[in-house]
Amino acid sequence: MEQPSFKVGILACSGIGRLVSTVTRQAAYHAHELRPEETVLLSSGALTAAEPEHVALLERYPFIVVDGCRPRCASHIARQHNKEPAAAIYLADVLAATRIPLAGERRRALGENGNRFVEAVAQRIVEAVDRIIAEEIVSTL
Amino acid sequence: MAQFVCLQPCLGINHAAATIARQACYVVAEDLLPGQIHLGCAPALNAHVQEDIDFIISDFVICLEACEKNCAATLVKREGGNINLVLSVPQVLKEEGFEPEKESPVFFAPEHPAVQALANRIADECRKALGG
Repeated sequence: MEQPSFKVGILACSGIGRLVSTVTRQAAYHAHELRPEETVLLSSGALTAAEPEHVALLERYPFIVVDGCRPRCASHIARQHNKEPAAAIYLADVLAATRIPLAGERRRALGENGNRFVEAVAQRIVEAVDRIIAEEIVSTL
Repeated sequence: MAQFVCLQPCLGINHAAATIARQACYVVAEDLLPGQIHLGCAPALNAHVQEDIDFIISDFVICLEACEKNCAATLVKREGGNINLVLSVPQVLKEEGFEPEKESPVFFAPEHPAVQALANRIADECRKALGG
């Protein structure tokens, strides 16, 4: 696939209160490792403060929201900035599909199953990145 | 004296200092001062989750900033909460002999010396606020 001339933003909630917060954060890092040239990490913390550099990134690139829990805070950030995400991943959906048991996992340091869940979420992110890039290619050729 | 301390980390994703601060919050809340700490979640506060609003209104709030942009304090101020103390994480880490800007932000184990050093400094401030 041809190298894209643009990037895809990854906006994970990256919160702190729940296990899934850690999973979204680690999945965003992992997806960025898998597609380093094609993606840019958007900081939820900076966007909640409307930090201009990060707002500019949100304005510039199509992006994927990764929501950990029910308030869907990453999606809220997108709405707050009047931006429609190109894709949305909700961890409950990934968990329902994979049925990875998470009992005993800790938000401060994930164990084997927590890391399997991170891998599954990261794969969903990468699939969305590849689709967005492909869509851009077929729209511009 | 405060009954609880709310630790409000910036939760940035591009700076190692932000990851160290996030991990240090867990160490303080779970190991050093269990039952006395609330972890303030920036995206939840931004989405007006009631629990997080309650934390910044009722607690002694310590904002932990990974860079000079002060995103945590900016958010808490905008949402009308207390800002009792702002800690510059890079400054604290520098004083403890660490240079986080040279590190990858991806992960720091809770046992990492930088995490432990920061957690101990945060816990000292929490104890002062809690009167311990």
